[in-house]
Formats: sequence, C-alpha cells, structure tokens
Amino acid sequence: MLIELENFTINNIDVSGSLLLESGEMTLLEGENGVGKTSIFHELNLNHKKYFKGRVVRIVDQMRLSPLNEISFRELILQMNEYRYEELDCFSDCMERIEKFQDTPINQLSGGQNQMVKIALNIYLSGDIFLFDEPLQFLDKENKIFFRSLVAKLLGSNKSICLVEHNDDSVKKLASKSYQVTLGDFIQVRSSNGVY
Amino acid sequence: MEYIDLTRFLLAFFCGYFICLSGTLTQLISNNPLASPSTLGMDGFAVLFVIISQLIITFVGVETDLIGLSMRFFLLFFVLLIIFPSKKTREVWDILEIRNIIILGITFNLFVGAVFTILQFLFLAYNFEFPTGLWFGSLKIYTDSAIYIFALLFVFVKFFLFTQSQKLQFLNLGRSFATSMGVDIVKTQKGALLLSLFLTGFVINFFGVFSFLGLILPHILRRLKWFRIDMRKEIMYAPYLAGALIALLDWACYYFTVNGAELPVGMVSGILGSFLLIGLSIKSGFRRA
Repeated sequence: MLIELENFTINNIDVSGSLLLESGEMTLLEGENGVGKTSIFHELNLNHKKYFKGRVVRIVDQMRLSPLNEISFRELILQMNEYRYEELDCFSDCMERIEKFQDTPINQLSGGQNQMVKIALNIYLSGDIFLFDEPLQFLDKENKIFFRSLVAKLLGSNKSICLVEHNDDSVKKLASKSYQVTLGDFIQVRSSNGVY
Repeated sequence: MEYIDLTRFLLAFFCGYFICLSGTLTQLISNNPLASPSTLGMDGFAVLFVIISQLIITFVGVETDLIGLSMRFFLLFFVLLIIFPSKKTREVWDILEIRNIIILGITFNLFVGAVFTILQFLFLAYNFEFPTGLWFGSLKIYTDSAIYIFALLFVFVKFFLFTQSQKLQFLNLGRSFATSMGVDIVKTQKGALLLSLFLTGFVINFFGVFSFLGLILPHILRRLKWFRIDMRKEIMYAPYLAGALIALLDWACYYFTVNGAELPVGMVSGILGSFLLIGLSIKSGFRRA
C-alpha cells in the first residue's frame, strides 16, 4: 500500500513524500542521523488508522519497555491474548530465544533482553505491517542472526516490513526497495536505488 | 472500647481510595515509580487555595467556613482549566513533557511551602487563627454531608476507571506500545492527570495533606500477588485496600490517643511513609547496583 506522508511537520519542518509497502517485501528507510526517520515512524504510529486504513500495524521502536509493575513476558502475553491478531509460526522461535528470561520481570531485563522481548511481543500480537526502528540495537551477534531469519519468515508469511537500520548490511540485504529521507527546506522521503 | 462512627470510617476509606488512585495514575502517566501527587505539585496547588481562603476570611472578614470557600475556588479553577483553555494553553499542554511537569510540580510545592511558612509567621505575629491543621491530614472534623459528596465522586471515579483502565494498562508498557494499540496518549494522560489533581485537591480541601500516601500506597499494594503483574487490577481494586488501610489507621489514631490528643492520621502516615520510601529507595538502589 502507498502511504502518503503529508500534512505533518517534524521540528516545524514540513514533510513530503510517500512510502510504498507491499506484502511479502521489506522497505528500507535510510538517511543521516537526525534527519527524521524515527519521527516519521512516530507519526505513522500516532496516526496509523489514517495511514494504514484498517491494517494492523506493529512497531518496534527504540523505546524500552518499562512497566511499573513486575510483569514478565510470559505473564504479559497471557494478558495480551485477547488482542492477538493471528498466530505466527515464527513466534515459537522467538519463545525459544527468550526462554531463559521470559519469567524475569520486564523492568529488570538488560537492554538486549528488553529488545528481544519487544520483538517477541509484537510477533506474538502479529499484524499486517511491521515497522522496525533500529531493531538490532543492544542485540548480540546471535540475536542479530536470529532477527534476520525472523524477518525472512515474516516476509514468507506475506507481511510488509519497513526497517530503519544503520549498521547491519545482512538484514538490509533482505530489502526490496529503499527510501531516502533527506533534510533541506523540507524533509523529503523518496525512493532511491540503493544496492546492498 | 469506643468505636468510630460509620461516616468517619467511610470518609477515611474514600480518602485512602482517592489518594492511592491518584498516586497510581501519576506514576502511570509519568512512567516513574517515584512520581506522586506531591511531586507533580498537586498538594501545593490544593494547599494554595486553602491559604488564599484563610487570608480572605481573616483579613477581608468574610464570614464563611474555610472548607466551603476553598472548595469553591478549587472547583472554579478546575472548571476553568478544563473548559476554557486558550489555544496557547493547548499548545503548551501538548508539548509539555511529563518530566518538565514533575520539575514544575516540585518547584511549585517548594514555593507553596515557603508561602505557607511566611503566612504562618505573619498570622501568629498578628494573633490570627491559621489553619496549621492543614499540614497534617486529619478526619477529626467533618460534616455528615461530606459523605454524600465523596460518594458521588466515588461513582464518577468508577465510571472513569471502567472506561479508561484498559488504556492505562497499555500505557503501563510505554507510550509507543499504547499508541500502537490505539490509545490516544495525550487524551488519556490528560484525563488521568486531571482526575488525579481533582482527587488530591478534593481530599486536601476537606481533610488536609496526607504526605507520602500517594507515593507509597501504590508501591505497597503492587507487591501483593493480586496486583504485582496486573496493572488493570491494580487500578480497579488496589485502592479499595488502600481505603481500608487508611480507615483502619484513622480508627487507630482515634482510639490510641496521646494524653487525650488524637494524632492526625496524616502525620502518622507521613512518618510511616517516609521510612517506607527510604527503604524503597535503598532497595531500588541495590537492585540497580
């Protein structure tokens, strides 16, 4: 689906452009630090009903999950069961990866563990479209490899993915297309011919 | 053995319920376990109206009861806050982050504390009556009609919780997650903040300040197994326990007097709460270490 980015600003700078997200494909969002990629994701999350027109969107962003109480991941998914969109096969893989700390209170997890829990939670809830904003931050080498396989499985399940990732080329290679975010008089999002 | 009457017992219950809920809401919207109505300046806000009312009664000579006048000011300001925000206020409200609200709140509390001290000195210097009892909440003085007002507020609160508890449960996992689940974050936070402010101000106007309760009660109850992992249950049911606790504490203050003088329950809760807060802070420090 084509997402028209319009009528919003980032730091009082108008944003223009569009993103094409297609089922079974990953779109890469690239740009320099501070150009507004995370803010664009934030806008897409904030107004997901407007942009995605009824599709279910899951976002894994850079904010840590930090509940006030001592809920663990296992307890959390039991509470979230009624909001589950569909059951994805790859969720069992996620559970295996986080087995060691799925009963640890989420607010006591390390950065990397918290990130894995965030990813697992969104896979558990599932959706049509996944937005990943630097999902590999804090992850060790093995978990990065796991994430790459997870993305491949999501694409195999015909999900749409939009990814912001600076460092890991192995994940970026799974992208079918990329968009550049540039900052000038306005923030522009346009298709690029990036090759990885 | 003397028994406290039912009206007072229920009023103490409602006070505990409202303060605990107010504390939980402030911690939720700020995602900060050390947030409380005090740190957000709500105590100071309510106390200011009582001070202004006392000034008017003393120096202008208006013959009216302190609580009635103070509540009128409080309600008027609250209604104006909701109904007539200017466009600029809305813009400021939307961009004002919670952490800045906390800083403003703490600063405001300190300011009100300073004003309170100066006025107390002036009142005593001129031999005027000053509401010193305000500083430690007490249910010693109450009117029977207050129970109807508190009961009505309780019904409103239950309605609010029924409609908002799920959204607040999502908010417990973070703003981004809650947004992805369809929660209007700004609206939910505003609603919770306004309710918290109203409940705190309401209790303070009638019965004075109950220091630390808004901070410590949610933490104590969150340690119980029924509320440890379920924020929705904590919001909906933990305040009942808090109300019962405060009602029992108030009964104890009534029954165990000191040379015939009744200890203000707010003073006792303040002392207990401060020790519990120290313990909590140390434990949090050890956990991080």
